[in-house]
Amino acid sequence: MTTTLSRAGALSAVALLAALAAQPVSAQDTPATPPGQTAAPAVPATPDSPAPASEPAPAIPSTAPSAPATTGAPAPTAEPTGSAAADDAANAPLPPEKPIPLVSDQPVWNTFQGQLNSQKYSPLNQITADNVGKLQKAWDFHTGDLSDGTGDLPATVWSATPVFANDTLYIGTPFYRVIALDPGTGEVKWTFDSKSTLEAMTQPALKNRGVSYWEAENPVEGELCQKIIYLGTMDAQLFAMDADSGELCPKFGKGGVLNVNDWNSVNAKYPLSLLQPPTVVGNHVIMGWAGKDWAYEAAPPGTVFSVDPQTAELQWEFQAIPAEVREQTGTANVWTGMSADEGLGLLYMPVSSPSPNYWGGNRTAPIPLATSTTAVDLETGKVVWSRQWVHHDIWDYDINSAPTLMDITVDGEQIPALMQATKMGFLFVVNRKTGEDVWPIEERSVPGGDGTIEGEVYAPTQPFPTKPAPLLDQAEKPKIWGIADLVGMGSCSALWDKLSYEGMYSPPTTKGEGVLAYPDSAGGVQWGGVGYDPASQTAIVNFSHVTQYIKLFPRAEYDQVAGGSGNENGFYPQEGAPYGMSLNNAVNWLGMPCWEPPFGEIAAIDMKTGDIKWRKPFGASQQWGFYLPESMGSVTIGGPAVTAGGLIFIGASMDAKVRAYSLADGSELWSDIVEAPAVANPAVYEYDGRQYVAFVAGGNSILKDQVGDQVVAYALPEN
Amino acid sequence: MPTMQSPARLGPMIVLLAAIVGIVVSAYNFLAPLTGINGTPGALLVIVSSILLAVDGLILWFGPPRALFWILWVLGILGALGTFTAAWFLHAWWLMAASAVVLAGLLVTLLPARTASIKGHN
Repeated sequence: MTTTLSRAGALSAVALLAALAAQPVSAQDTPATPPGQTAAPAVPATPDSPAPASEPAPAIPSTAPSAPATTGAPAPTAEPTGSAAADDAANAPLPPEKPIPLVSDQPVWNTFQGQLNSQKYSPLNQITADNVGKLQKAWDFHTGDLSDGTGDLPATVWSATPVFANDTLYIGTPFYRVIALDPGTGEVKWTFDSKSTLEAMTQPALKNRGVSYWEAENPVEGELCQKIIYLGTMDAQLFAMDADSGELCPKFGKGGVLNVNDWNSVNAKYPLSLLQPPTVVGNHVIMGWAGKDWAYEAAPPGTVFSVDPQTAELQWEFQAIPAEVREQTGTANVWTGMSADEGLGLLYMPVSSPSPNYWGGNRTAPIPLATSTTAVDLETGKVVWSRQWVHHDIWDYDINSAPTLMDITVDGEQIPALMQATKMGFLFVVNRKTGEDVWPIEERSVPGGDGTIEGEVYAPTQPFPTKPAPLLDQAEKPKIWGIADLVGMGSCSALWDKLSYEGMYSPPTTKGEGVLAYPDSAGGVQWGGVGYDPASQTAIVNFSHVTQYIKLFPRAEYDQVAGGSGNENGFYPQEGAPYGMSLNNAVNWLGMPCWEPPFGEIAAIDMKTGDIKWRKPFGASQQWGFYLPESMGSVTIGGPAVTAGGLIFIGASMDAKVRAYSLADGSELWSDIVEAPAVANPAVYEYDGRQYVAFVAGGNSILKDQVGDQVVAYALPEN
Repeated sequence: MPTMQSPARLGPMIVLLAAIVGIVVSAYNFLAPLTGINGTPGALLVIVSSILLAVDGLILWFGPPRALFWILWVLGILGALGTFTAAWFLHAWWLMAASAVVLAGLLVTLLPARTASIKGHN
């Protein structure tokens, strides 16, 4: 087996060691290589090329979990089987395969991404491209759990996918309640209130991405907690409740609650916020957590925990950061959903970037599992393979969505593949058994720094996919939108002149207004991830065109100039690092984007060839109620659902509409207005012989200041 | 026997009625849920502009002095065009129609003044 962890790790090590040994590579020495062009020097990583020898890993194998529970978290009764993966000296072998198909022939929508394979695909075909125009609202429900931030409570950001299981629709709310609804009528079956503190402890808003569901292989009738719903909270509590009644499961943790923060033992600057529902696979409840980005140089290291579904006993934990650098950096957490292939026995983790996000002088040693897709053995948490998508990440290019698992046929060969979407607008496609490229992923030279940043080192190369082609053209600064420049009386042009940019991966700087990033944290593909139609082998992805700019400020200067911050924009201290930073969207005084539209698109990719089938502007931008033409598209957050009826259902746009598109050609076939932008994935399910499509319209201030508490389900007329 | 108003009165009446329709439509868009623009500054803006158009039509209906008439007429045209444009960006199609009728009313105001009696059908 080729271990691609070795390849990524070795490249990273070579890059960083070269940078450390020699002078930092200057921008003049290494001009930017636009994606799509032949790069020199390129380090092709093809399926045929042998993987480099395994990188010597720190020889500090750890089999014990850090700081076992003292209060809410039960101490393991037996030693966990897993180990801190970043410290493993060698990759684990592939687990024995099981006869579990990747795609169920039954309609399933019981996770944040629809299914464990994250395809967001439903085989239901009652609603088709021909009749979707007749779609009607079947019911809607308002939770009451919303805040616009003007009162005592922080604003809410609600990105929950409704989970359909146990003939019930389950939702979690940003007030950390669970509501069980009748899937056909929207009537409440039961509610559960965690009474969690409603403080923005790690995030600028009260956030929730829903709940998870587990059921015993053979549920015992009448016995409590044979089917369980899990709800996480911002203050790191994981609640487990009976799926039929909402009653807490007494055997889980301490009285039905697991205090994950008891395992927060290194750089415990903030609680390990459980905003993303855990990934439930077989007999595992697996959770990463969200932190407080950009606040500190050293932060909690990104541990992933697997616990027993019924007792919360720790099974294994995964660490992305090697032990010897763990205390000086942190994060590289998994804050979004994960995918799993139960047949292969693998869990796929999208790992984020280390801390601090925009300066890496404290973490010059390789951290090969950071900003990666890492496959681990479901039973042990041991790394089987890993691919690092950004070496020495100083842009906060967290891998932010669960990879989409798909079986594809390329040149007549059937390949068990996965597609990892990224903030950069790159779609990496690898063999999900081995991590090897399906289409070549090239290491290309990227810009070095301008010499202004103390202690920084730069990776001389970064991975670029050749197919599918990058979704954004990042060869040079995006063109300025003339209307915005006119309205801004030339402010966009002036800003462009003050921003440095030498192509993708231009590093942060203190000069001028900083460095342009196209995109940074708000762009590309967000946590909704990629949808997939296994019948036609077509991938569906919505993505943003967003231009932002990053500036670093030496500490003394930062303390003088720092102003406020919003949701993913403004000033952030990176406390402890020699630099604070700011990140802003490139807009004029009226808030109009300085860059040319479209601002968001949706695309279909033929996974047999890697070519784009079609791409179209997606949604409409809206400010103060005014819509821009749909030809300009919308920044997009939230993912698609794909159905066997030849349809794509998606919210995810600024204009708070939910839409249906033709899978064949991308034409818009239906839309409706909901209470706020639907920034989660829709759910598609069948109940009593009727197909429903359900959206949560909760809003996200990254898109605009509009909040909602609406769950709405659509279906065809009954007659 | 029905009597048709002279254009001097008919035009302002059209402006007034269409502007009132605009106020109602805009208020609905602002207040009702799920209009896509409820509670937005844009929807509030066109409520105000529709009210101003109604006031404009009302004053024109009373036959102001010539100089004031032209000031109000030009302001009415600008207000109707602005409301029409705003309605287009707000996807407020009924308000667009009302604004178009306001424009038509203002044009009718310029038709040569005459008093006409039209005999009703027997």
